[in-house]
Parts: sequence; structure tokens; C-alpha cells
Amino acid sequence: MGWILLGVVLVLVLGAALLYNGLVTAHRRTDSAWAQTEVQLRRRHELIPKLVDTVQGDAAYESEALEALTSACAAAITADGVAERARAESVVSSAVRLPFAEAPASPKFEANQSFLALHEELLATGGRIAYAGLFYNDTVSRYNTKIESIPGRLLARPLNFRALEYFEADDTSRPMRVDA
Amino acid sequence: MLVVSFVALVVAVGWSAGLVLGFGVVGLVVGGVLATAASVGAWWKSDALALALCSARPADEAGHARFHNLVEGLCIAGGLPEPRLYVVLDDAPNAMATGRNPRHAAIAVTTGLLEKLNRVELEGVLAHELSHVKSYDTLVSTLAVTLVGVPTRGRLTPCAVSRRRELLADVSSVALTRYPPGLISALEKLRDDASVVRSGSRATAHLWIEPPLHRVGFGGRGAWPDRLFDTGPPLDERITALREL
Repeated sequence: MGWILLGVVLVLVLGAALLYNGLVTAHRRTDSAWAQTEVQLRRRHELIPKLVDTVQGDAAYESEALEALTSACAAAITADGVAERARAESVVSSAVRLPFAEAPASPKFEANQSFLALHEELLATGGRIAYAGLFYNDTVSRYNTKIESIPGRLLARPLNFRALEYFEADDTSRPMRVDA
Repeated sequence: MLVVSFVALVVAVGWSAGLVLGFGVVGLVVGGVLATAASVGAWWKSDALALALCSARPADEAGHARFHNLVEGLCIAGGLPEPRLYVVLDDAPNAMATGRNPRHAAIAVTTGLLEKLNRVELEGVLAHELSHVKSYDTLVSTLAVTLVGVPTRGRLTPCAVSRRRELLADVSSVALTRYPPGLISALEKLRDDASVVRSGSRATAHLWIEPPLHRVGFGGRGAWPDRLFDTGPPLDERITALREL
């Protein structure tokens, strides 16, 4: 009788250990996915001041649009938490498009190649942010599902595994999913 | 499975040759060694061989920015390392993926594909190819090239396996892009396009977005529309399946 009990206890302990490892792995994956997203976000934060500098003082470029971009960027840098960062970055994404909307009217448009190059780079980075956010959300989804379903739920609460927020960046440069 | 049967075949040939020539066990051993060497070599160099057979050229970033950007984005979204990119000069729109694992993979597209498909359609096709890489389908297909590409071998890979892999890759592609209409539209264009890949005229014909394996004696045309109905699910079936998502 004692042996059976011991066996059951061992199985439970083993099961709990495997479960815990699964939760930890899933959480680590979200960390790594977020780190990748941060790399792209930081890249964009570095590019924006450079972009603004190339057209500083050029009257042909809308100063309002550039100011909006700079302040959006500042707000995004100071934003805290994934959801808030996502919202702030959406603002940056829309602001990034504005200076370009104005530029074609400028007679010096063709001349400012560095502006064009930087702007292209910014848009490309915006795309990469969207993709990285996608991957991050996938890992979060898997992790959240793990901690909310049985048996993960049993360990998650006592061991403080909390659900993570999604990176909901409203990037309209990618076509939206069509629900057929 | 493919490798095991290949090794068994070569060992059997070696053994029978040994029996005929009176060497017995030696024939068996030699056969075994040769088969193992061939399998390892096949596995190691499978992608390079497949690409060479198709006359694929590396796609430079400057000339194929859209191709590179799309693949880069999809790799970030899928958590994959970036494969090497190649281009094949051919009007027929087609794409293929090769390689023994995601770290040593390559994707080749025809110039026809780049010209005829728009951005979202191209993205769908590339996501399909990347799904093949991710699920190691490419390993099976390219082994088939090197192990079974000799004219006398003929068809070995079961059609049913290829069919399932193609449909799975379609679904994975959509999971990656979150945009079924992209791939659907691309497949419709491929279906309606009557041109045929010239470069895929030998053992590699089967790699082109279509499942393995095809008889080389098919006049060397690499007629992939014909092969659709032969060794894999017809495009119409794939389109219908995607529409249901």
C-alpha cells in the first residue's frame, strides 16, 4: 500500500515539474519575441530624429507634421507596458506617413535623397514592427492559453504566472484580414 | 522512410552483384557503405544540387528588394531564420523551397512569378514555401531529388503524402500572413496561367510548389500543370479548401 502511494506521489511531482517547465518555456518565448519587437521599435525611435534633422529648416516640409512625429516618438519611448506601447506606436506609425504626404509638393523633393532613403527605411521598419508584433502575439496567445486551461491553471495562480497583454498596433499599411 | 528504402535498395543491388561476382558479403558491405555515403551526401548538399539543376541564381537585394522584404517580414512573423534567396529566369510563375533544415534552406522563384503576382499574392506563395521549410518538407523533397533523380528510378514517393503536405502548407501560409485572399488569388493566377516551367525539366520538376515526384521521362517538359493532377491535389481543390477558412 505504501509503495502505491509513493508511486502516485512521484507521478504527481513529475507531472507538476513538467507542467511548470512548460509554463516557463512558454513565458520565455514571449520574452524573446518581445525582445525582437523591441529591437525594431528602438530602430524606429533612432531613425525618426535623423529624418527630422535632414529636413530641418526646409520650409517645403510641413513643420507641423514633423513636430507631430517627434512628439509621437517621445511619447512612445516613455510609454509603459505592452498595450500602452502598442497604442503609442500606432500613433507613431500614422505620424510617419504624414511628412511624406506633404513632400511631393516641394520643389526640392527630388533633391532630398537622404530624406527619401530614411523615410523608406522608416516605413520598412514599421512593416517589421508589425510582423514582430504578430509573432509576439502568437507566443502570448499560446502562453495565455496554457495558463488559463487545465492543468496549467492549477500551477499558474499559486506560482504567479499572469496573463500577458497583446501588442495591438493598428498598422493599416498591411491589408486587414478579410473574414470570408 | 525514403532514405531507408534507398539504402536497402542499394544494399540489395550490392549484395546481388556480390553474389553474381562471387564476393558475397563484401558486396553487401560495399553496397552499404556506398549507400550511406550517398545518403549523407544527398542530405548535406541537397539544396545546392536542386538549385544547380534549375539554373537558379542568387537574388541580390538591390534588384529584388520586394522579394527580400517580403521574406524578411514573414521570417520575423514566423520566428524563422532567413533562407537564401534565388531567382530562376523563366516566364512561368512558380516557386520552390529546398534545404535540409530551416537554417540551411533556400527559396527560389521564377522571374515570371515576380512579374505576374502582386505583393499580397507573392507574400502568400512565399509564406507557403516557408511553411514547407518550417515543417521539414523540403528535406524529404530534396532528398528525393538526389536519391531518386536518376532516370531509371521513376516514382517512389507516395502521392498521398505529398497531397497532405501541400494542403498543410497552404493552411500554414495563411496562418502566417493572416490573409487567405492573398494565396487564393495567387493560386488562381497559377491555375489560369498556361505557361510551363522550362528549367524544371529534370529530377527537380517536382519541387516547384507542387508535391514530389515525377517521372523524368515526361519529355523533360517539367509540365507542372499536368503534374498537378498527377501527384498532388489539383489547384482547384486547394483553392476551395482555402476559401473555407
